[in-house]
Amino acid sequence: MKNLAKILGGIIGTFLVLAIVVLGLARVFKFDPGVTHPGLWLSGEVVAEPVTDWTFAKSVRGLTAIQTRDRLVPGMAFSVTTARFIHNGRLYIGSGYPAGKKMPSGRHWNKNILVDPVVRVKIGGKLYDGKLVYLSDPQEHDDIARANGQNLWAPGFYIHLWRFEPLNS
Amino acid sequence: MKKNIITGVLVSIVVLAGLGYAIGVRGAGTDDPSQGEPFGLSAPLIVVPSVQLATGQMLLFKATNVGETGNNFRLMIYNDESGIPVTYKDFLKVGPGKTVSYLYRPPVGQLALEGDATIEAPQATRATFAPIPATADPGVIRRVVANVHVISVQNGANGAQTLDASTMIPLSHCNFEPRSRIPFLGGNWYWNCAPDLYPLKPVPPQE
Repeated sequence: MKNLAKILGGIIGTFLVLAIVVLGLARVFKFDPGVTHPGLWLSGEVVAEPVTDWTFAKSVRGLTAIQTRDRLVPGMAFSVTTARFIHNGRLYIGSGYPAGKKMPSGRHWNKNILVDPVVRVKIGGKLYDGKLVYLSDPQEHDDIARANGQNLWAPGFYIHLWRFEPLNS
Repeated sequence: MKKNIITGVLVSIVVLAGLGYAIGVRGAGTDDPSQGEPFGLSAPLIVVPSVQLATGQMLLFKATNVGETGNNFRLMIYNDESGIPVTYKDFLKVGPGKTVSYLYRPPVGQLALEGDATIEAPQATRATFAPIPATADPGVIRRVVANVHVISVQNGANGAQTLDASTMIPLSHCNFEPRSRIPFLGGNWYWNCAPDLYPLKPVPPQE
């Protein structure tokens, strides 16, 4: 019995130490998401000045990463790569769903931003802090979809959009 | 004591490996709603081929909900130039056995003839009856029958308008099917307009 307690103590202690070390390393050295795996804190240069026109981002190559605040573990970041759209100088972040699936079913980062919309977006190696506002106006959604190709009109598919806004707006 | 520490470390490694695997699998897409149901992204559709109308003619779309409950569906109207609809009409809460109609008069465009000649004519129009994105059952069109008429209205001598005999347009049933990966979820879809010849094959369960 005493041995079992020692073993359990060893397991928990080792687990805690390793978890703290791994998270500390991820916090310091960052852990970007990939195409098929999520990440934690994003790496890159933070842009402090607010962006008023996102048109430049149309010509920036590469994926868009978004870092959210994890709703389950306070202080923890959760990041993924996703789609970005630029329309009328504004930045929109999208998340695609099969028809019939209600948002945020099955998407951890969508659940996170419903609880806390403050995010950090990575475009072209630079980081932008802001908050996401869900696009509930169907006309604005249609305008963006019309400007971004027929994939956004595919049957059996719907892309939910959020407008990226400055933190102080 | 030494044995206990080694056992503890080994078990911890197994637990951490399990957690890592779970996170990796979630990131790889098993948490993705499209993976939950093999055909979650499939949508049967009724497709209206491209129709060239003559001046004065209009298209009358009619769709009946033959199901036993209310249904929502969308009529999407296109021209010949783009895969993005010119307009669409959502039919919401169409009751069982109810028929809805939509009259569409295409805008005037240029129709190319032989050589460099063009004439003014209504823009060619095609359409699909499809599920409403985001909210509706992707399989709703299985419970919908439709037809499309070309109609024209004649102005009588005394100012009264009369409806000419209409022409019906043959329709097709197509499936919009996921294959490999999906755009924005990553990959491609395919139109399958011969679902009788090439039925959607069940996706084998993933290990």
